[in-house]
Amino acid sequence: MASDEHAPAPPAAHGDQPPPEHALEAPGEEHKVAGSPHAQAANAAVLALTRAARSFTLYDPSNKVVRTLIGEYRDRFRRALDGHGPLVLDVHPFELLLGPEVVYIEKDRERSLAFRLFRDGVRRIAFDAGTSWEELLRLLEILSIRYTGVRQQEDDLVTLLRKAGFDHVHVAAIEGFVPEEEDAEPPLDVDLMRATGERYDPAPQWDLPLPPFPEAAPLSYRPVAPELLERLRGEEAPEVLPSEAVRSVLELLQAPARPDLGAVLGFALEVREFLLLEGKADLVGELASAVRAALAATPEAISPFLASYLDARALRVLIQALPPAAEELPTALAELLDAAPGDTLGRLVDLLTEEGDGPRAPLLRRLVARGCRHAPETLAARLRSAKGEVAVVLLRLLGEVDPAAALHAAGEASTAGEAPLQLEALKRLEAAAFSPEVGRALRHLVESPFEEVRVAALPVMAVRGGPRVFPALLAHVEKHAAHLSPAEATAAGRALVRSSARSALDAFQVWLHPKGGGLLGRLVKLHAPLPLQRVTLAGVVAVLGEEAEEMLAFLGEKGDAEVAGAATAALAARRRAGGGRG
Amino acid sequence: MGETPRTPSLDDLGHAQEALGRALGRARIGEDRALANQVRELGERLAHLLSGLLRMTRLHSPDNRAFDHPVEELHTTLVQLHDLLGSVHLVAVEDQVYVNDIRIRAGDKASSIRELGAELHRHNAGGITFHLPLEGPAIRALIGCLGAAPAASEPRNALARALHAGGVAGIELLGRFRFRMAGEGAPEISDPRDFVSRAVAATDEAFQNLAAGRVPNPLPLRRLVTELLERDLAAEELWAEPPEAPPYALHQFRVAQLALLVGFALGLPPGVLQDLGVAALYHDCGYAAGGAASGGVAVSFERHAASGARLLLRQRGFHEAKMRRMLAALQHHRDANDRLRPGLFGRILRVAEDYDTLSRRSGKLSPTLALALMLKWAGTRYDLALLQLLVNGLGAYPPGTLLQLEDGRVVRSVAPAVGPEAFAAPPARCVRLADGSPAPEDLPLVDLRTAGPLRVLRPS
Repeated sequence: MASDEHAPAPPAAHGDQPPPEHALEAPGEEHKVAGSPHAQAANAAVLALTRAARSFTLYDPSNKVVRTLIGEYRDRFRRALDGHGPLVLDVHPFELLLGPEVVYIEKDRERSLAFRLFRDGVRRIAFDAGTSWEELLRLLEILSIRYTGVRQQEDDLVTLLRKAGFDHVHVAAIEGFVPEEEDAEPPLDVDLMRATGERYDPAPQWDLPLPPFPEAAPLSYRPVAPELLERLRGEEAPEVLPSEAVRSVLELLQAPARPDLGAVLGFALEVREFLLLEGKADLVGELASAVRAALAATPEAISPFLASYLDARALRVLIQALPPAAEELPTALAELLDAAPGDTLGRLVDLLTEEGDGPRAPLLRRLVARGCRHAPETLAARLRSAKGEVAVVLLRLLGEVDPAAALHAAGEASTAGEAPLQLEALKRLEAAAFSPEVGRALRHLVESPFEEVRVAALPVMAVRGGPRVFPALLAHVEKHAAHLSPAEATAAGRALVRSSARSALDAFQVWLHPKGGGLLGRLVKLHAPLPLQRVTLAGVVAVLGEEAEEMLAFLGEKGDAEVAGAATAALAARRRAGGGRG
Repeated sequence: MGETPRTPSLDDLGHAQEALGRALGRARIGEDRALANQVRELGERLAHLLSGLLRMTRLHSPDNRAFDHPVEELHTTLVQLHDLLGSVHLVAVEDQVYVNDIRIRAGDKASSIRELGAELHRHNAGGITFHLPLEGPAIRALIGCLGAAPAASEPRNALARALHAGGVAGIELLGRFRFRMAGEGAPEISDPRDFVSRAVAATDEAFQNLAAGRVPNPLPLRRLVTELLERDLAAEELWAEPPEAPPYALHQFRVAQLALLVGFALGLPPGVLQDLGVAALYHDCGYAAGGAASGGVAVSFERHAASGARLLLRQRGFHEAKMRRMLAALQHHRDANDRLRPGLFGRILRVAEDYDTLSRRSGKLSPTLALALMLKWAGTRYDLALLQLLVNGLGAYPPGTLLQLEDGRVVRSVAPAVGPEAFAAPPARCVRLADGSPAPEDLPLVDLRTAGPLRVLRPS
């Protein structure tokens, strides 16, 4: 956005923070003037107008600052008109005058309202006391456009002001105005300015001959019915512009001597901008489909066109127009997405990321899954850089469309830095056939920095790996024995037993009854640290048989208080159940 | 699929914000938000390169190898600016330089900016408009001419001639316009030509620009249409035939007048009327594709509609006016009952165009007969209602119709009939007295209501 070199740097375009005080004031020469009360009120009103109009070069229209400035404009103009009656401003090159008094001055041509009015030929602008808010808004709209407009090919202030059809704002403009020159020279032969240096005239018989007109009908005055006039006017009503815009593209594509295709497709993209602005999602889709059909004879042009056409903004508009609960895509949209290149899938993933848990998340997941049919590698590639819940969703989606790729991705995710993704990866691995790759991945998860992942991974590794993973499990437990939480110790104990009950019991025996120690060793409590006692307890509780009961009894007698109590209770429960010996 | 859901109800200021946002969005599409910054950056580069090249001419001849790289850079910059803007207007005033109204920041190169202004001012030039991106040789010729000593008399014109002789084309030198402060007071100078002459000249200029390969610039034509709409469309002076008017341009202007008569009668709002007038002034622009810039091959009737649309597409950015005139160019020869029914503008222009061609260009039919012949095709070639509106607007004896009065005088209808009461009694001026001698020019208008029976004469 345009910024003035003398003005402070504007705040972020989408921020709603109140701007610094000086950003709202007019820097440079656009300042308050002294004078009669009417002049001061006029000055305040005009300054409010210029600030509001220029605010659109600095801020997004929805910004709170803009709202404040619009409100000030309304209030100050109302104050001037209600308090002092009609406001008649004479336009000079850099000043606006109320009678003899200067009520606005700004010599910077880029900033100056007076200069823009004067240069375009406006010499007076007069506001009746009854100027409505709607008219003031229309004026603000016109000036805002002129402050932001750069190409200046279509309209200037006079044409915009005339177009507005004001009832209470009167504009006096001069036409055929010749700017005064410092040192005027006589007009030059205009042919000197032409690129070719020559005039060109069409052949004298252009548009001729006309078709034959063999008969005449009598002329008479016949009024045309008002309803018919209204119907005709309706053909150019604002609401039909979007469909007319689509039609114009199609007419160009179907013209017998078709204009340059590149230029037509460029125009189609311009029309798309218009349709997006108007929120015409249906026509956005319709235009793309129609262009695609029209390009059937030049298929190489379709893909680049759709790549430009179906950008993130267009996709967002198309998606937002769908009901969130939509199960099926409209046929036109489905065909369009199927024909769109791979970037479209990436954009859909972006939209899914933005949506988070929003109402359209299920729809977007369906669309991504659908898109993956054409470009599954896109999903896997995006997964590598995804984070948080999105990564989880993508892995899940990948599992739906390409289980093999999802398994590989799960393996990669086992060393990823986020717990939710590791847990999702664990689900994938749990469902897969055991293989060295799966085993490696599970081992990584058992070693995860996140306890919840480790606790969840231990039983899975035990169940899927069986006895072959027992040594690894045991090594893991003994390595981390000092730091196992109660939950993890419990999970570890159960995992060891599930992996191999015999091996687990042997290991428990070693922990409970280390070799050596003698009489003293028999007299003191267990050397096994509390975490290992917990591991043993959890494992033994899951095993039936005399050996297990003996260990329970031992723990009940020799273990730390917490473990002893639990072991005793478990033993008692077992005996009560009558399943103590098996 | 339907439309994007609208925001919920807002207070007045909220509605104002939303409405302004949409209006600005419409104005900006095709501009895009970054355009002004892009223009500023490229404009800065243009100004500094030009200034630097001019400084180098004090040491070296422009054909020196030292100029190779900066000349290439300047060409690239002009191409980029042309792609964004079409015509590039570089204006130097006091110590500032503006490119398409964007002020160029001087930064630490303030002296370079001032020097550029000074170099231009030596030749009494206030700026340069680049209608086309100059190629390397043209750039060297430009800086060579700018770097040379100014002529003692009419330095700007002399510079223009030197540029033309040096093969530089597609640029315009601007005067050093002076805007006075309030109180300095001096009468403003108006173009001395009458409105119709100005309008025809501007229409011709627009056509010549298209033939020369330039981007369409509808603003001057829109200003004309705006001025026309402020006038009385039935005013006599608007229907006069300016001497030596280029036939094509006069035809475009007449079609615009006729179209606006119909549009006014239809009750179209001001914005749509403006668009209609501009579309009419461009409707046959497809023939400009026969100019040298497009290869010099004359465009046939069958191709001119699509050619016109293509030329109009050169203008960047979406604007509903551009869309309307492009459709109008494509459709203006289509029958009203065609399977591909033309839009409103196309149907209006068909009526206006055929009437002007039959009545004025053919030279064989009176305007009255032209209308009567067309009326037989109402509902097929021509939209019935629109043709009737034209008949109502022009009257039984449209401007240019020669009539013989009962007393032998020959009069010419000089303006459309206003209203049903004047349908058969338009304003008329005597061209021949009863004795057959030419009538004096200062005779008052003839009141045809009391003139008795009238006989329509064929054009002589």
